[in-house]
Order: sequence, then structure tokens, then C-alpha cells
Amino acid sequence: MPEPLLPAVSRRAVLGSLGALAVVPLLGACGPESTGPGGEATPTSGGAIVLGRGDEIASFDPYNHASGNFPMLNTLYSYLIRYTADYQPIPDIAERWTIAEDRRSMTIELRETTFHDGSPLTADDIVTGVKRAKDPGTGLSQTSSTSFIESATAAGARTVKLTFGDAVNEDRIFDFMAWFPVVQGKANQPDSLKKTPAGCGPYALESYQPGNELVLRRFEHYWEPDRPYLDTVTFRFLGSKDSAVVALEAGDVDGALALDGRHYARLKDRFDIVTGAPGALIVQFSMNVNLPPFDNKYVRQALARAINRDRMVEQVQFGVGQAVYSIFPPGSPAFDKTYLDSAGFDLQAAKAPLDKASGVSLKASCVINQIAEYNARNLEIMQEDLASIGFELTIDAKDAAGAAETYQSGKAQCYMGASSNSFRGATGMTSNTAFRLANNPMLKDNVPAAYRAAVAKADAAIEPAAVTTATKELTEVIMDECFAVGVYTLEQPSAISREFHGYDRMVADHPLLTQTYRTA
Amino acid sequence: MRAYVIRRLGQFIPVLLLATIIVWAMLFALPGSPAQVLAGEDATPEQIAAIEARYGLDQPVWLQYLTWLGHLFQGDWGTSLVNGHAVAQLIGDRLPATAQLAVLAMALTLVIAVPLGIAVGLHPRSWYGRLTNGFLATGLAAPTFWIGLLLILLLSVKLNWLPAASRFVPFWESPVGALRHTILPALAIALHASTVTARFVASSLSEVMHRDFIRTARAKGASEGTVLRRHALRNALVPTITVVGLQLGSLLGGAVVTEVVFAYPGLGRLLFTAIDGRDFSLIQGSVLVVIAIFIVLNLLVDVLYAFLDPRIRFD
Repeated sequence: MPEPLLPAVSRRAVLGSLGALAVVPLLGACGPESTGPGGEATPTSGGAIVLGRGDEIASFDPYNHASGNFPMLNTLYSYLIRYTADYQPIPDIAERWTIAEDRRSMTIELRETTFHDGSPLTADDIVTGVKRAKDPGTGLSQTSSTSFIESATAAGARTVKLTFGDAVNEDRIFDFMAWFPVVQGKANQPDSLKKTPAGCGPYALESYQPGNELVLRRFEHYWEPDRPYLDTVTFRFLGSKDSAVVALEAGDVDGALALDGRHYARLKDRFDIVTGAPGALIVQFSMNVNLPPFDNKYVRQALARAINRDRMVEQVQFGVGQAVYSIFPPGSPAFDKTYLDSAGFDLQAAKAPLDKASGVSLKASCVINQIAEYNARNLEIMQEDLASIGFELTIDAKDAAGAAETYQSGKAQCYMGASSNSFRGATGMTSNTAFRLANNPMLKDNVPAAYRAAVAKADAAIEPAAVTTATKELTEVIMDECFAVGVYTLEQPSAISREFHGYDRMVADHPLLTQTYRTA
Repeated sequence: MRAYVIRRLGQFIPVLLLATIIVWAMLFALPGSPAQVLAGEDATPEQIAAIEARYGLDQPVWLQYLTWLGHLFQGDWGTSLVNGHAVAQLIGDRLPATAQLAVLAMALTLVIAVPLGIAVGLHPRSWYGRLTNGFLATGLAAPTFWIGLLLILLLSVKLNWLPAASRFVPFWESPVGALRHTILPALAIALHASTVTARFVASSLSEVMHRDFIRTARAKGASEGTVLRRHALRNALVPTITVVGLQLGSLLGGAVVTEVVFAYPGLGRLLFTAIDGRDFSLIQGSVLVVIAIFIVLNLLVDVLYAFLDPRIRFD
């Protein structure tokens, strides 16, 4: 016997849900982003596309959001909802939802659809998924975004009821829904998903050769009528972005994904370019508050003002990207562009706090992952500027695993790397290592009290005005503490052959191929 | 000879064991863990610890090694920590690709190296001898990846004749397809490897041409072609076999850089990816195969030596 829907339902939630319903027919007409190469040609079904990438998938587990896994996230899997480019929710597997007036629970009505093996999607699949997500041992990227959920139960064959410990604002709820992958319950374990996917996305697995290629075939029973258009999608893992570019130029692949800014000028006249989403990757400079000289806040504030973001975007990313002051990307409700001036590059302003930090050794070593070569170029610019105000910065380049270990162990004085913040809510960024409240390698037990309080206040804010105020205060605290500083958005462009139309990507840069078709 | 071969085979297992110990020790000396790779970029220490416990990565290094070795003796090469596929299958899938590339690269190497070596060996001071020497010096100095990039730019990007990103097309399924996808990386290897081989051919030939038996052959009225083919080359190529054998061994072990440049799905690229992801069992399995191939080829070269030159006795 299914439980009745919650009696207390907010007007906003109902309107949101109805508004979302109204968007459903639009799904067939446009993707969630409008930046993809458009075309006037009539979409036709059939055909194949081959896309080259530098990195390769680690597993078929959508709970692992490693950038290598991006190709399979929105192809093999569907999510409860999707975000438009400006973070507006539109239904995906969640056909309708209602949030209780007191914001302590919600009910989700699932679409009638099947997994790739033909078994029907049920509420139990979502319940199993939430349970796994909340398990710190297996939940991977999902653990943080489901932390506010107290319990998940099946209230019907396709009705899920979620209860929350405290009242939760709408942004956090939508962030959970947008990033919650729908996985078949019986297969929702890390070991099982290593080799075999278990999703209900627009494409099903045809074959996979580790280190070589992933071939997907159109899922005949995908819920969206007449989608996807293409019969097969092949991702070729080519080892490097340069190899992907050359393969595109040689005609070996139809598209090269997640490239660098330096490739943009080379390809833009011959291929359609889809720039990366601003929040998908943001270059950050993190400083370890537990190690000198960054245990001194003045030093951190000084270095934050000595980052010439515009020069880095221009010279390192060839103009592709936007300067940011923190982890909030342009387009995010939390982004406040006035900080670009008030906290922007100013060596005189950087020198002032440095002068206050008397007796501190003005030298530090910055760990980077050498594979992402932009890190070294950015730091070379910083080195030059910092040297002019008496600070000596050295670069400690390591391979990916070595850099990650040094960073995570808290042994790095400072670290430059890119991480994502594709969340609508301001506190979504606390799932990002540099901004975590617990197990933060750069903060450890020294999480600034003001930061902790500001996050709690933003989490507790329910009404829009309160959310705005809390977000503003949170930003002020982050800017004052300066333990992690935004540099620029790493908008990795993708280049697609002009024979194709409708290639798109999610706000987190996952390739979206539901609307992609080949012209006759 | 038989005793020599048996003795060498007897050294096979200890050498392999020693190699696995060294590789294992080096792996654990490297910073970074596979659990970090598996957990994702923003994993918490708690999540990493859970993964380490699940895969036994929290055990002492020596215990992990002995566990791996125990499984190996039972024919179980383990599974990739990263993608869960059987290591034996992953290596088995890549070996034919690497073998095909190695054989074609060696064939091209010999096709290029032997004529050039003869040219330099016979007439080192002629204009073409000097020209060839210049080519050999340039080729020797040019790294394989650089040659590969130039070939890609010219033949793939500019002329669109050959693919820049190679696939493995088995020769027995499609000879044309196989050549199309393998010729470019093979040529990149051959252009570099042939310079080494050609120098060996040249120096051996130059030395042999001054030996008494060559003078005798000429005195008996043999033509220069016969002297070269029947007497000089047969003797000059014996030391060349050593270098060709070693080159083939290293190619069968995976031409790592070339396979990466051409995105060729061979053993070298598999090993490169495994090291990058700290995929311990896959690294160990791959290295084991590479070393085994090298040892066997070395032995084969030695045996071939004895067959080609009956004066050589290993006993």
C-alpha cells in the first residue's frame, strides 16, 4: 500500500514541479544548454559518432565523478533532474516532485522506464542508491550531496519519500537531484559497476576495451520519445589532448573533447566549438593554514592579491576562461563580480599585508600535477609577480597520483589544481576538497570558526532573502580567510566536426548526446 | 649447447622473481596510491581507507607481495584495481597488437638498415657513404617521439593518408587495414632503430671485408656480389643479430613512447596507463611479461648465434 503524498506542500514546490512539467515537451526541442553548435538542418536518426578524449574512464560507477568518467555519466546513466545553463531544474527520471512546506521531506514520482537490461525502474532502486550514497565507505562523490537526507523509503512502486534531519533549502535539494545517478539497485555496488554499467540512460554499453575505446549503442527504450538520434557513440581514449586534436584533424575522430584553451584558436575555424561549462572546472590556489608561511593570514591575503588572473587567462588559456575570485563560477547565484575588482590583482595591495607579516619566511613550494601543464604556466606568472614583492615561490611538479597524495596528506604548503563547483546552492562547494569542513587537507583541525558558522548559516537559510544574505556573508568569510583562492574557470573546449549538430554538455561538462545527430 | 640452454632456462624463474621484487619495491616507493585514483578527486580519507581495506592495500607491503605471488603460482594474475578486468586478459588483448607493431617495425628496420649499412661499410668515404653517415647520425640523435610527431603532421594531418590515432587491426583479419594502422608507428620506430642497426652492419662489414677469407674468395675469382652475399654479409650479420634481438625484445615489451604518441593500444601504453593509475597488479603482470619476453629472446639470439657460426660453443 503506497503512502499518500505529503499533505503539507509548499506553493513554491508545487509551482516548481508544474513549471518543470511544462518544460518536458521542450526537452525534445533543445538540450539543457544552449551553447552547443546549433543547426537548422532537420534532425535525422541513425549514424555514428566517434569522439576522442585524452583521459579514459576509471569504471562504470557513476558515483565516481573523476573527470575521466564524464563520457559515460550522461550517456549510460540518467539523473533525477537536469540543470539548464543557469541552474534551473528540468525533469529527467524524476517526473514530478513535491517538497513539504516545512522543508523536512519530499516526495519524488519516478518516470515509467526500464534499465538497459529490460527490468523496470522502481522506487527501490532509488532507495538503494541513497543508502549507498550515504555510506562513507562506498558513496564516493555522492556522500556529501546526500548528507542532509535522513532516510529514503519507497512510498509506492515509483514513488520515493525522502526525509531530512533539518529543514533544507531548495538549492541543496535540487543539487542532490541533479547529481544523483539512477542505478539499478541490485547492481549498485562499486565492484559490480567496475566492469558492467547498470543505468537507464540514452545509450547502452556495446563494448569496452580498457585503454582503447568505449562503444555505446542507442537504447531503444529510452524514456524520451525518438531520442537519441545516433545509433552508436564511440569514445576513443587517446592518452592526451594533443593526440585527440591531431586525430580530429586527421579525420580519425568526429570530435575531440575536453581540450585546452591553446587548442581553441587552432580549431575554431574548421570545427564547431562547444566551450566548457564555467563551473565544471575552476583553477584554485590553496594554501595550507597549518604550515608556515600560510599559517599567517596576512601572507595568504597577500598571495590572493598577487594572482594576475587576466594575464593567466590570456597567456595560459589563450583567452578561453574567466577570472574568478573564489570557487563560485560566473552564472552561479553566489558569484559576486564586484570581488573581481576589490580582490583582484594588485601588487601594491599584496605588499601591504605582507609587510604586516613580519618575521615570517617569505618562501613556499607549490605542488602541482604536471599533467595539467597550465598549472606550471600559471605559477610561473605568479613566481614573477611574487618575486617583485619579495616572496619566493618554487614549483614542485609531480605526476597525478603523487600530487594527489601529497595534497591529500596535508604535506603541501600550497597547491594549484582545478576542481568543480556545478552546484546551485552556495554550500555545495563544501564537497570540494579545498572547502570541506572535515578532512580538509589544508585546514585539518583548523577550520576557521567563522567559515564553519557561515556554512551552517547558509545551510540553514530557507527563504530566498535569507539565502542571499547568508551567501554574501559566506563569501566575505572565504575572502577574508583566503585558504583557497579562485583563479579562473577552466572552460575546456570541445571541437566537433560540422557534419554533426546538437552536441552538448551538462553544467559539469558531461557530454550530452541525446540531441546529437549527423546531417545527411 | 643443450646444457647451456637448460642452464639459462634454470635462471629464468629466479630472474623473474628478482625482477618482481624490485618492481614491487619501486612501486611502493612511489608517491600516490591506487585507492586515491579509485576514490576520485574529492575523496575523503575515510573513503580512501575503505577502498584500501576492500582491496587489501592496507596490508604490509611484503604480505601484499606474497599474496600476489601465491595467486600467480596458482595461475591467477589478479585483476586490475582500476577497471576490474583480469590482468591476464588485459595483457593478452594487448600482446598481439604489440607483436604486430614490433614485427613490422623490425622488418622495416632491416629493410632500411641493411642497405644503408652495406653502403657505408663498403664505401665509407664515397659521397653516398658520407651522406648515409649523416643520415644515420641525424636519425640516432632524433628521438622516436619526435620522428613520430613529424610523421603524424605530414602523413596524417597535412596529407590525410594515414590515421594519426592508430587502432589494432589484426593482420590476419585485414592485411591492408593492419598496415594502414600500424605502418606509421612502425616507421617511427624503424627510422630510429635502423640507424643503430645500420651502424652495426657497417662496422661489421667493414671489418669482415679486410679478412683473409674475403681476399681468398676474390683470389678464387668470385665476383664482388658473390663475395658480398656469400662471404662478407653472412659473417658481418652475426654480431648484428645481437642488436636486432635486443631491439625486438624491447619492442615486444612495448614501445611505450611510440605507442603513447600514436595512441596505439599495445602493451607499452597499457603499462604507461597502469603506472599513471598506480594499478599495482597490472604493472606487475605487464613487467613480468616484458621481462620474460626479453629473457626468452636473449636466449634465442644466443642459440641462433651458435647455429649461424658453428665455431661458437657455449659449453
